[in-house]
Amino acid sequence: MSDLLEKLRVALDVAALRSSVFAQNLANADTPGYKRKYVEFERLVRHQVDWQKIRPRVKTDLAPGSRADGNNVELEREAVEAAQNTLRYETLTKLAAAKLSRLLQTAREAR
Amino acid sequence: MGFFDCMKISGSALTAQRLRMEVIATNLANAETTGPGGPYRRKLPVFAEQVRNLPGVSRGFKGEGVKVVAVVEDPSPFRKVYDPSNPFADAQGFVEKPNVNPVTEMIDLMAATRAYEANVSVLNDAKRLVEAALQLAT
Repeated sequence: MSDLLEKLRVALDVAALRSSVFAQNLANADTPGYKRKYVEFERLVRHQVDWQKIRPRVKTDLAPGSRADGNNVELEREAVEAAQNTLRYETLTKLAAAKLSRLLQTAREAR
Repeated sequence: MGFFDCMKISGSALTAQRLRMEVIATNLANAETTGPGGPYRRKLPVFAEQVRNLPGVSRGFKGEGVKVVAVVEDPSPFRKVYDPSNPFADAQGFVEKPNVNPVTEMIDLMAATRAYEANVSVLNDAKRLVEAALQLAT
């Protein structure tokens, strides 16, 4: 598989994982003592060329938060990040579709 | 961890929030319930995060949403109302009424409704992502 497609696959996997983490945070927005989770990836792959082998990490945000029950989920923050994530995912699928159609074109012309 | 897990997580939150609404409905329905066994005591759902606890599986994300693990009773004191004609009144004419405050319940109901809607929108978002991924196959 081409390097670009492999990178797109990893980026799509990270976005999918992120959407699950947002779902978990939002599902537990009323759970006392719950600490929000987040996916660490961009920071790990910075300045790396062959970053497709790096695995994303799910981390727990231990910030005390502003609520009395110890929960630090902020609905607005999660919603904004989830919206960004959705747009990123859709952009990535468009890029992948463009790459695949170019491959298909090449294959047709080689016939 | 795919989008179906994401949908399952949101689904668990919808179940939990709906149970919370049912508890609120019970509290409101019994806001004036008194009886020989004492007045009705306000109920509260207890939410807890659900994680997959498979030994040996330590990699990746293990979240599985939320669950109502218990419904507990509110230990706060009952309201005392002067009503000597009530058959459950004590010698001084006071009746103990449930420790349910309708205003608190209504606010809690609003919070539950908003939380339910937020989780529905996450569910719809996951569906949108699946549709985007399916575009790749055409």
